[in-house]
Amino acid sequence: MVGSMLLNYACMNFGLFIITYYFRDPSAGSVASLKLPKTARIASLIPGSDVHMGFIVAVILVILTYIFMYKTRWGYEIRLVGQNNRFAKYAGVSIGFVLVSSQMIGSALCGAAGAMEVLGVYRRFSWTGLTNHGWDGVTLGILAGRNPKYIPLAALFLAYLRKGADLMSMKTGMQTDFVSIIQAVILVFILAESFLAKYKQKRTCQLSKQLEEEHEEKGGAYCG
Amino acid sequence: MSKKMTQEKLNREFTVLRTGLAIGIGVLLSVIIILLVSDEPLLSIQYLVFGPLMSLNNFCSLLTMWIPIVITGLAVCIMFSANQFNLFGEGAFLWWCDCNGGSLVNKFTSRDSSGRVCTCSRSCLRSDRCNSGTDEI
Repeated sequence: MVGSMLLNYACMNFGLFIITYYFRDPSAGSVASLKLPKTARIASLIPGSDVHMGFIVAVILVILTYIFMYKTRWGYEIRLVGQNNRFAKYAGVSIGFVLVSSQMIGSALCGAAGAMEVLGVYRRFSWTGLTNHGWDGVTLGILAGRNPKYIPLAALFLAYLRKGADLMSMKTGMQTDFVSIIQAVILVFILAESFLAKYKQKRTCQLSKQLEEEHEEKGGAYCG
Repeated sequence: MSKKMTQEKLNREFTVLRTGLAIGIGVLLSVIIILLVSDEPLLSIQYLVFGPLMSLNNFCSLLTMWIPIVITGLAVCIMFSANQFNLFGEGAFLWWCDCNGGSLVNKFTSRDSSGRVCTCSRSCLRSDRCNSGTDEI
């Protein structure tokens, strides 16, 4: 995990090195790549706005990812390794292959997101720092409980929050940093195992009693 | 009702409740911060809550913002499903558009569109191998 985190900076600086020494546009006022040709850009979906065909690609990717994760053997193997890799190994799943392939597919999607952002919205590459999209992805993954079908909804929530905060900042001068606070609070409460654990325990007991009573009424012993 | 169905229902109920409460607490906290810090708290909250729906332009930029977030979210879903907390998404995002999306496509403008797509895909896969290596380490 730490290695993957550190590689972000390695990649960013290596990318900046390439931009600065090989692809820099000298006519640009800052560190930026050459302009993208019009033929390389992603077509606009709504004329006069920044919404591009990537929107449709994103929707298709959501459907494909859901099918991949829940309707294919490969996806099942990934989930199985995630839940219990010892059992997966016992069942004959190649752990190494599943781990490497899942990371490859995941980061290919991240790459696709980056490509679509640059080719759809910008005219040239001009970022000189990390964009936080990866961290947003982590928030979404946790918020959606690692289920691709909830990702669009979670993303809409986050994008709405970001856009609302941007507008608020423009109109009233209020800083947008509190969005990070909301994100952090959400993550803490979702990941905290003990949060609502007592409630869950109580509900489990209630349901068990209900089931027992139902079985007793039917006249059979409850084997639970 | 079978036991399995009851457990599934309970787990779903618990997950929805926990997520909803977490979002609620987060939003409540932000409202409190706005009330304490902002000079015009009501106007700030109005823009935060209804701003993106106030005009078509705002809504379009909300959709534009939604696109990369969704795809990185899907990526993290797959990576985390294997129980590997890989945080390279940020780098993969930047690396692709940095080295390939912007510059390589430009470099190969003389190619036809299919050639360009091939270049992009190859570059993308290259960055993925880099990523997978991280977990192996």
